[in-house]
Amino acid sequence: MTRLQTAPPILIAGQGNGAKVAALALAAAGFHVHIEPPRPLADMPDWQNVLALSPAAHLMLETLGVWSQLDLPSTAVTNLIVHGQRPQRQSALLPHSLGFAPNQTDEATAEAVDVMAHIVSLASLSRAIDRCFAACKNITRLPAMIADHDPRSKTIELENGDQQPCGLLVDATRAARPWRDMAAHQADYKTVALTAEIASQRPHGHMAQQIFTASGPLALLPLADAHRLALIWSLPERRGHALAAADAAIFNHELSRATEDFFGPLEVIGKPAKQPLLLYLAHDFVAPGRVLIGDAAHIIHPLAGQGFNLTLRDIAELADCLHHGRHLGLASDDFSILEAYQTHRRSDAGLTVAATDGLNRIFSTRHSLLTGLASLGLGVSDGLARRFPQMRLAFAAQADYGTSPPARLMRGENFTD
Amino acid sequence: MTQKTHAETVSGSTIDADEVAKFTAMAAEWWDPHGKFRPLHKFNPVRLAYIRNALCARFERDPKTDQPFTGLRFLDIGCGGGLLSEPMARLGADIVGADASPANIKTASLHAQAGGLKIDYRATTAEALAQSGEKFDVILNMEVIEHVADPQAFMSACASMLSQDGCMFLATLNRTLKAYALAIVGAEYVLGWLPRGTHDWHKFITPDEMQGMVEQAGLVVQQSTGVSFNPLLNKWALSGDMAVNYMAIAENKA
Repeated sequence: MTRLQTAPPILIAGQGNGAKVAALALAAAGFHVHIEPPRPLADMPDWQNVLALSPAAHLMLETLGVWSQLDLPSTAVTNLIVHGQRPQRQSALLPHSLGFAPNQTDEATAEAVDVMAHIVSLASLSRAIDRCFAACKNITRLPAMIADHDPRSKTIELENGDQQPCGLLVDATRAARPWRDMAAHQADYKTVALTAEIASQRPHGHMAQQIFTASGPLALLPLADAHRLALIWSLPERRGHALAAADAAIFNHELSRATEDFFGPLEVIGKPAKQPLLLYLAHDFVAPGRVLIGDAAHIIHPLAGQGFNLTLRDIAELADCLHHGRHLGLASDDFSILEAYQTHRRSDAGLTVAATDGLNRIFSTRHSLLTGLASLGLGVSDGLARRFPQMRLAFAAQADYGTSPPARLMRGENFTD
Repeated sequence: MTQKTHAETVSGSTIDADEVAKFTAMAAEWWDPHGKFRPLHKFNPVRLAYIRNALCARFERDPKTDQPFTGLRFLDIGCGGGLLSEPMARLGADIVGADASPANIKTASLHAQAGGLKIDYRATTAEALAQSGEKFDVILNMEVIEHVADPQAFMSACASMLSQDGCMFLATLNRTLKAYALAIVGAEYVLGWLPRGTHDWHKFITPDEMQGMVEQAGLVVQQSTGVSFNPLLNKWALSGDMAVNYMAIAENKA
């Protein structure tokens, strides 16, 4: 009687993991979701790229059914060791533990050890997301990409000329889109991150290691095999490209040199992948009829997948805001919903980005790119933590949940609970 | 308000293209979150949550469903652009939105139509509706009584339309120095949240006066609450402080 038609659907622009998880989360929250047509998954070796997911991100993926679809084992990281480098000295690597358990007394048992992060294969996670995505009933694939969005008429136009109603456009794409005219802060660090799977003679003991080498920050993350590690190494552009193209023997030699043989012999498996390190932060995360999530709102250092943790927090918060708004009878694009989302998310993303960018100045080496993001859910580097120890705990909580109280999916609760 | 105005407004058939353009622009203004009704948009979630929670408890509706108000007949008196009527309709309410201004009714109708919502908008007054013998389970009398010429007559007309076990939601501004400072000097002159002249402080109503009018109209105040703006969180929330904005629920005497 009261509805001439059902509420207009939520449209998602994007084809990546962020867009797909957003579709899963919004469908779980009871919305009809339409998403741009999928593109085939990039063909990458299983362990060439990994993500370090925070405990809350892990809960969220479990709640959405993604975690159980992983076809490769994940590794729980229980400790992070940061090695600061003392310039021009031998045996310069001085370990400094950033373990999370605040009072590691004798009574602490193996089970009581806090998990700081879960290392997952990006390839495996992408496949898991795809399997859930394919099985989800409330998601419709658009026949073509979205060409434009008109928030006044609440419609989108597709590249095939079709028009469709659009209750809200969720923009999750890294690429510039015609409707996106929003100001942003950007920086190019002229740095690349090399990622690769590494074989190590010593077992990793579920510890993540982070080193400030002379050539740039480097992280080694434990994989399921006790003798395999995921390498994430930031290097100045030219050197990064050269090393990525070098043959294995040279690469291994340079890696051993950078780590001063601290971990014993290390060998690269396959070819390393390389990614440019950029910083991008949209000034506004919302516009009339539109919200930005993930790469559309922020791109940060790809080390250890903090960017994806941030994206998951965007999605969990958006799902909460929209779900709450629907319960109040508000339209999906109601100003109060969008403002609540922006209030929650912009501060978290801004803080993470500010930490990233600001640390460049704190680490006064020429390799300005900070390794904070490799800090596996700490979201703060050792250097900053030492200078401002009280920030560490604050960052730890905020890096995991982003907001207080955490959004429902981040607490491991679904919308039917 | 005459029947003629009502017919013109609701059928929409006599509206010409220029008028449609004009009222579409007005609707855009009502619904522009950065425009002059921004404070109402910001205020909306807290009053919607209050209405929803109170009605789910009163009519024993499951608060988890999407349309808990299905089967309930609502009147939104002084509905303006429909900022309350639309959410009520989405929550399943069978709703009449009434406003004395035909322009408001046209803009509200256009906006609801664009959103696919069915709302029975009428350019009429509480007194005229009451005379026609209409009855409602829920009457939303919110942010309107401080604007009417004869608040007691208005209250009594609304009360006469309440069904036996129905309830009326009231929201208005208290006539205190704090309300003068915040709602008039602050909101209209300093922050520019509202156009100057939106409110006349002398017409603000104290909770005691409100209770007196409610009782004069044959109802009792069942509960009341203050609503305060928290500038740190940048949002409104229920509070114990009724010195500025407050809401109440009235029902028939037992």
